[in-house]
Amino acid sequence: MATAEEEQVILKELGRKPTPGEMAMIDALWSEHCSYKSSKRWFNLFLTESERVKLGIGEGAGLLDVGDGYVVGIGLESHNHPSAVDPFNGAATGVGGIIRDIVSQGCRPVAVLDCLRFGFPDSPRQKLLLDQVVLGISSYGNCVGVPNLGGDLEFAEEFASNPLVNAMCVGVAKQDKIIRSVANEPGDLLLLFGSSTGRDGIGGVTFASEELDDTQQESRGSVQIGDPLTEKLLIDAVLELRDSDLLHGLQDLGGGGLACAAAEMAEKGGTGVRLELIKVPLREEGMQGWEILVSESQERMLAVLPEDNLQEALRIIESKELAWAVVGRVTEGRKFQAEYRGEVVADIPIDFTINGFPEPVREQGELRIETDDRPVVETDYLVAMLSDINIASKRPVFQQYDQHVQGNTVIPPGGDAGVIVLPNGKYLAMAAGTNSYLVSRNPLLGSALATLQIVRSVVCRGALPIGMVDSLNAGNPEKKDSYRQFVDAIRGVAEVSHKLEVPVVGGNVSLYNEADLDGERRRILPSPFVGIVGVVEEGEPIPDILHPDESAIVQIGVAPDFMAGSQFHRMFGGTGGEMRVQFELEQKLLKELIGSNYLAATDVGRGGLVTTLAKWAIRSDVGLRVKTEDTSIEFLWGENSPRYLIQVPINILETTLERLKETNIPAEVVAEVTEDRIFTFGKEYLLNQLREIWENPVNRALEI
Amino acid sequence: MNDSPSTKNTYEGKAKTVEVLSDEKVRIIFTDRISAGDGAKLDTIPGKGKMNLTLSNRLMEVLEEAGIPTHLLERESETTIIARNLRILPVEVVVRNIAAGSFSRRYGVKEGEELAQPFVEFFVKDDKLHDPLIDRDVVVQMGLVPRDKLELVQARALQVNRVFTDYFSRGGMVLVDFKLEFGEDKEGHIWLADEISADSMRVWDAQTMEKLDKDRFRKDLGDVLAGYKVIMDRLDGIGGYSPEKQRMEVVVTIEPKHSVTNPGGEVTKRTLLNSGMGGIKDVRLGKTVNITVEDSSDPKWLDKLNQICKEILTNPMVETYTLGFR
Amino acid sequence: MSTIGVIRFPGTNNEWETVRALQSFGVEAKVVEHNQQIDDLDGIWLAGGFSYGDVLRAGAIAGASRIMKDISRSGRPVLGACNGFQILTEADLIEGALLPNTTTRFVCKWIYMTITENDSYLNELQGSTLRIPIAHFEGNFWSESTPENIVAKYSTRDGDAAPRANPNGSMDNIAGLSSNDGRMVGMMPHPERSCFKHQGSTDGRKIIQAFLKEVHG
Repeated sequence: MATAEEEQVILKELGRKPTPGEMAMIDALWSEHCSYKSSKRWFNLFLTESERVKLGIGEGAGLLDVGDGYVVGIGLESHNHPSAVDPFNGAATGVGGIIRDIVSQGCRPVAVLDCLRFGFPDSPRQKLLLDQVVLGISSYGNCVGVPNLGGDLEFAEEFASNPLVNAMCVGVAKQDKIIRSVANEPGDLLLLFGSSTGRDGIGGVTFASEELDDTQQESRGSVQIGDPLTEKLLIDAVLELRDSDLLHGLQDLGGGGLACAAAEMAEKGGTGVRLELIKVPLREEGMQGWEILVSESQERMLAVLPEDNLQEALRIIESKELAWAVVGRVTEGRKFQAEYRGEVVADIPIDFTINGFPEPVREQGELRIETDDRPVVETDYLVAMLSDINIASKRPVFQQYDQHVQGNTVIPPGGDAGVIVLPNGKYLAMAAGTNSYLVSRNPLLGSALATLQIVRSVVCRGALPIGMVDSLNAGNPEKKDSYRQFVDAIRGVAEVSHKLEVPVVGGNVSLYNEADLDGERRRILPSPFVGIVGVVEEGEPIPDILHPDESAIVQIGVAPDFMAGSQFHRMFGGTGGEMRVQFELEQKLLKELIGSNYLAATDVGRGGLVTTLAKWAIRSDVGLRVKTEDTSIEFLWGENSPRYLIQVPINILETTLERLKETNIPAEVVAEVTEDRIFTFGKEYLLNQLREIWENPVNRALEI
Repeated sequence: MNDSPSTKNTYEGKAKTVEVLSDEKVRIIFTDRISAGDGAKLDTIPGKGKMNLTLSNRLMEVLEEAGIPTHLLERESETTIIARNLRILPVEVVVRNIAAGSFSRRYGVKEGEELAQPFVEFFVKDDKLHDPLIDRDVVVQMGLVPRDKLELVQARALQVNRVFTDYFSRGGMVLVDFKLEFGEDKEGHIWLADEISADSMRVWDAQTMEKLDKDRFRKDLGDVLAGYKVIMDRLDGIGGYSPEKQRMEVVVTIEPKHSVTNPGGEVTKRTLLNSGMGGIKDVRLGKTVNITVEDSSDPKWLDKLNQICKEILTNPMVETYTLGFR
Repeated sequence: MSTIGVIRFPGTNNEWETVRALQSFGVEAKVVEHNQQIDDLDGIWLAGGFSYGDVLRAGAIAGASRIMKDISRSGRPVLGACNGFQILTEADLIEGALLPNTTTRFVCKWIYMTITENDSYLNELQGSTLRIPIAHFEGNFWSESTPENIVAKYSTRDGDAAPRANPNGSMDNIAGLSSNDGRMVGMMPHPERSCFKHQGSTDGRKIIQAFLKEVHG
């Protein structure tokens, strides 16, 4: 809801009281979700340009050149609040929304990834949330026919009352066929098509920009219901409209509904719009004008097109049996006008609705970085690690998503990055996620390190990272410490974008993920999700599973000199030390891996070297014997340093090590492939037993 | 008609005579006879047959327009109509809006008390037993009417009530209760039958609550015909009346056959057991489909519905279904 | 040259990958909408996806469509993969029913299936064990009695149709069946998703090859 200050600004601008329609519209457009009023000022920290960037922040998707006349579109959005209230529909419509964002730029959606956060799944409520969110994503994405290529899943107590559901979509288009979300030409028609309009999601964006409270269960009215069949038909229709060059502009109806889509397109084009709401196909009786204006019914698009193209466009839309209506025209004069049954629902300057909000004052507090040093607990670290829910295999979740539909999947999710083949024969690697625990320990360095982790996931497929999207999930920006976490997280991501030259081409912000529940303040761990795509320009991607032939596993890069934010430190204690980022070495390793043809590669991720080796052996069903000279905790269990593991055949091991030495890349053998299905680290573990330990936690989490 | 036949093709009722013309058609003659209390009280009122026919036809036409199929085919003369040849169901259907008559006596509810919602009762047609009230389960158990048809009849009766309540209120009248009879044709389709007239309903003046129907006769309240004429005049006074099309909601309940594994039920059962709910033997998940039928005026829609249930809505190999109506 | 029609119902979503797979064999393949004619087609592929959103039951509404009656009458060879198999059983062209997986969850994974002795065009592959992906919610085959027209069973890598190789609870590990005359084959696995090197297996080509051989006559 508008603040008192905002209400004053509105009264002054209009010189009168706003109509209910105008108020509903401003409520939506000035919400954090649409306006980024607390966050926009920080976006200039990001690297946003490169030769490959064809469209940056500001529309449904960022577009990146992948050669041969093709672009890849990427977008990442949060759907946290709806998923907390109705996990199935909230998650499903989150996937639907981001897919439409990609489609609205004229891209065929080719992959989805999702970043999920829940409380520990040891209560029925958390289990149900996990189960229903996964079911929602699976039922929607599978039905629409877009494969799932990855994402991440993390559990922490802090997410128990504010689960996070962020979805990323990747699309592909011919560069000359892309569509912009803009209304440039007065006189053009505004064509609404897709589903009919009901009361679902009325007030959805304002709902997403407020704290949830104990009455959240009753907010169900604000949750939208997804219809994947209509989405599929809508995608088919848009792609046909695109191929026939019929549209001047197109935007998905998301937060703020028709009002938001029409106003944003007109604002970009320097035009105005006049809407006749009576034309909108309704599915509910007795709807008010303002409700039609801001309804968030799903699976709808607003197209801008010249009158001459209408008949042909309608032929396509009707062949998909979609509802449609010409709801208005693009006008001169930069005004948003809407009428319903002879009554003026809105008549307001467009620029004011988009940019007229008074920028709220936000203050950053000081953050205390805690070291949390404790004596180290002695145990069988490997077994304890693998059976921890945050290390455990996510296969029981990924298995519920269609990973192969469309036939382009080269490397399915479950490893570091998923890979698909593009229409031009090149390969696209993609990964999405963050490390919320790490970021929470030190938002600035933690978010840089967590982002680097996603970069490495793409790089170890031999792919050059070409762009990223971010989705910044944090607490209430009106609280100083919370705001500081958020700003530091942005700084960390921004630093990586500059240092590794990976431009940010799209973003999303989800604030207010905190609440007072039962008299207790609960704030999420700050979670700056990033989604990164990379291209394998020549040759094949580096495999993500081990080859069974005689070979060695070589570590390239270095172990960290700190344990802060690591899984080991979190579980077993010890000295944390200070986090450190080493961009130069990151850059050097990146160059080494891109275009290389190692037998297989991975990066040392959560849980450190031994955990990564064990997971790799289990996933590949290939035995490994670990042998390292350095047996320090940092070397064996440390993470968040620039280091990868590559598989090298024995016959070229010596020459490879020499070559790496010459290029000043630290390299050493850390394990060898064995013929039996055994993982040897001090003692021998049967791979089948380790697999059971590793897969059990998430399987159990899904048992209700 | 439950009434005793007098010749092979002619049936004498208490107030009407029915002649069978063919397999499809009958002629119904509206006589001037009047009875009440199972024929304990009998009389003749000249002109009553004609008056009843006029009122009944008027009401049936309104129902037809509202999408409720009736037996009426054509008006032949002032006292005769041609109607469909139906096997009349052996139960009478009474719809009540306000407590009166046997309902008041039976349950001790004061006459004139408004019921929370319209209420349907069934009476078995049996003169020897004096047409007693019968429970729905007994109707089905005795094989008088199968359950789905009984539900359909009840839904139809409530449709009729919605139309009449609106129609009569426009004429300044309150519809207290009324009796309907239904019949089924050779294909098993259900049609509204018999007559609907002041003989078979209680109608009061909305202002004065004065009785305008057969109760005048039952309690010897003045001129019976005059009351009938008031109803007719008041309905005439409304002028043209176009009733709202009556929707029918059909609930298709689909259940998995017991011989077929039901994974959804198995998982639900495990969930219930894991949640600490003991004593569960079996859980099976099915589904319901709620269909709102806008136009059910042709009774054949039910055949179509059954066909769709068998061909699309269910897979008869693994599922069974039942229909409910409301 | 033969023309294969890949039938698209609203909600079908495997049509283009199937067309690409078929085209790699040098045949003409095209998407045919469910309300179009099939007279000019030499073979018919019922592609996977969620026809009509798979409301009611998977494949139920598509199974009752006009084009399925045309396909039945046409006498042309038919292959139904995933939703295509579900549609064939719903149209009563192949016996049995496909119930939800016993896990009541969608399952996407690589499986092995072994071709059994059968009377369909796949009999030439008898004894082959193929690695092909599955992706479905309703693949749990059920029939009142063991069907006669089994063409493929889920198996281990070595061809053993053991219960542990069963991904969905299917009766007797059944992965695919044919019609009584052997002209139509339905299976849950996706041969079109194991046709190219990049997909990780090319075993699906053997199935498509056998189907095309039947089409060519």
